[in-house]
Amino acid sequence: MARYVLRRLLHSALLVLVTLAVTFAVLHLAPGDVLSRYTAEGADPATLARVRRQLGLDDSLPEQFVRWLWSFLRGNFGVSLVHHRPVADILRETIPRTVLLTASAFLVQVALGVAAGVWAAARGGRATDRAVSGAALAIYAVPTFYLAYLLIMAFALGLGWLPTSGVTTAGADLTGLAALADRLRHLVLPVTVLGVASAAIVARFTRGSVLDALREDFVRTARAKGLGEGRVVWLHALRSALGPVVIVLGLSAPVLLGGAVVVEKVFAWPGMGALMVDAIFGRDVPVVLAVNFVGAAMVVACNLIADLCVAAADPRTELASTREAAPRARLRQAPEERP
Amino acid sequence: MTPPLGRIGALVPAATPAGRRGVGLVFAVATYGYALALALRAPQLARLDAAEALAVWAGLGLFWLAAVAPALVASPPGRRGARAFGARFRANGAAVAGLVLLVAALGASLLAPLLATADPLAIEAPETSRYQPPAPGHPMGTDRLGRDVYSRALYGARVSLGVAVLSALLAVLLGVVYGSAAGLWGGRGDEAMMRVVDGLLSFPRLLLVLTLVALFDNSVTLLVFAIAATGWMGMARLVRGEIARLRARGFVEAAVASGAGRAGVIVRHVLPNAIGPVVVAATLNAGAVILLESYLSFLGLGVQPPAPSWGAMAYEGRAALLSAWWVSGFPAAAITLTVVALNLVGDGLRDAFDTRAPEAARPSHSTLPPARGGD
Repeated sequence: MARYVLRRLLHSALLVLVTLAVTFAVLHLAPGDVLSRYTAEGADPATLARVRRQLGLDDSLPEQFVRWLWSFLRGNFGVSLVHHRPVADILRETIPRTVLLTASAFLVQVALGVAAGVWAAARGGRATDRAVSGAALAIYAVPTFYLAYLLIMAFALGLGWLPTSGVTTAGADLTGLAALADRLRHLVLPVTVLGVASAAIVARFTRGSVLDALREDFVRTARAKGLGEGRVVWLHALRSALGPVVIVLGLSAPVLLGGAVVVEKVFAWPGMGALMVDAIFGRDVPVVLAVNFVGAAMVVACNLIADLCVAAADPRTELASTREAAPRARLRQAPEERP
Repeated sequence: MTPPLGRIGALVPAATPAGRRGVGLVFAVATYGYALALALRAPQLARLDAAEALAVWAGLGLFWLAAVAPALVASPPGRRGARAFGARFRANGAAVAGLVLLVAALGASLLAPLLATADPLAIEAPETSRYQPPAPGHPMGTDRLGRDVYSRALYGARVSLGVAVLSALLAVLLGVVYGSAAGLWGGRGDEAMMRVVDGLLSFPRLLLVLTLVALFDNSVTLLVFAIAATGWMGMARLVRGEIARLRARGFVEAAVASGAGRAGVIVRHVLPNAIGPVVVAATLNAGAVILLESYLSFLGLGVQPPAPSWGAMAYEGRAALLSAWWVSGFPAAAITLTVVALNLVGDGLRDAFDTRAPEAARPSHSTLPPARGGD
């Protein structure tokens, strides 16, 4: 087990390096001078030359990469061109908001997605299964922002139960429990949109995974010895199907982070995704690169956690993955084909 | 009745398997050359008239089928042959329904100039014709500027489906080439190449596409390339996995030992085996791309107004969701239906390629599973 954990840790560290290399490559492959992204037009040539020297842009690319790598790994992402503040400071404010949003959505996704998936699989092929599977597919296929606007129309503007946007009610001076309730009320709609949209994907995978498990011999044994159908499905089959499901939950990290960009924009939620979009319109390259890197690092971390969870629960993982990097290889179909 | 794929296979002139594969390869190259040329001229896609659009789409579709069909037909008949494949696909009602929807959407995009009742960009005298509800003159109503939503949705299909099809095809090309190269190379090189794939997969796709769009420039062509550049990794894994699988079974070594070149082995033995999963992945990928395009349009970085795309239309109509649901409702429904259709077709293709029983025929939990032969 220790060896497996070590190998997975090394692999994750390697992945972080690769993501840094990709980020660096994107910056330098894009047309135009790198310096021009950091300076206003019509700057004094002498000043430009000095800045160029200061930033080390005259050095060779490998030298630049190593220096850049080192500063990124220490959390030094440079200075925002729009806000004129260290990017790291801005991220310190925005990351917790995005994590709050995505982690809450993750809980919704687990509860709803796994339950719906198992429930549908237990009714394999029947009308209720088809209804649940169809609903999951339809929800997946609706553009997230449209779903969000529909819910805003219904619950915020129509019924007036929930606020339309923001993190807290502006101007309201609330304390204690009232402040907490206010924050929670603002959380409900964005979390629902993000969580339900990704729960649809999890439900489809859970269903397939449990269906596969239900065809195994041990399920026949469990039924033959007279166990109730509920116990067979929820205890025996689900436990066997849990490995792939946990992996898929780990793989949902990029989906949630990508979805957060859209959801944060709809609900004026000042997190990393909204920061990213504003940075793109402001051509704020340091922020764009830093958000990319942080997003990728989060995904690597989530996948690592998922893999370790599976390995801890299933000793076969260790044996099966002597060469393949991850137990992900056991998935029937990698769930990568989504935005 | 001969299944369509079998008939196309019969049209391929070469009689020997090697000849068929050669024809398939030539057409595959042609498809990608054509797709690349189209991607470079993507902004013009929305302005083609019906005949031109028909030629463009039909050409692309036929090239693609011609490239895939020989490999399908060349696979062992019966078990994975075209006839059984078609029968398995037709037995799946949902997949057939998805295919019908998809053909309808493609048809609508092709025949847009014939079906449209108004110029998609024409702005009518705003005061009287703004936000008109659906009526005989405007089957889907009019938008904020008095433009006909129905006509815009037809032309928008060209942009949305065009971006999806082109970037899915380019992603297949990139993924197959990269995956084959990794599999061919083997050893440390393969390992390094696959770590790059893992690294790229770690980025949330939307962030990566946004970055590419921001750093390069903002055009439909770039959109196609940016989406393709972030969507090929799954394909590369598939192809490389297939090579590794066949290698483990001694196929590749045996073929090499009997004098075949490694690249030849991949083209002759590996790619035909991988084509099923690749087609499935490409179909599902195209659905994801349609959603991705709508998100980019929503963020203001996709197809630029006034050009219609389903995503842009759904976003433009958001302000009037309560008072004029039709402005965003119809494009959003078009996106949803098309993505559902692509997923149904993809799932149907997977089940049809998969030699196991289709899901509908699998036992429900109340009956004992049938004894499986052979294992």
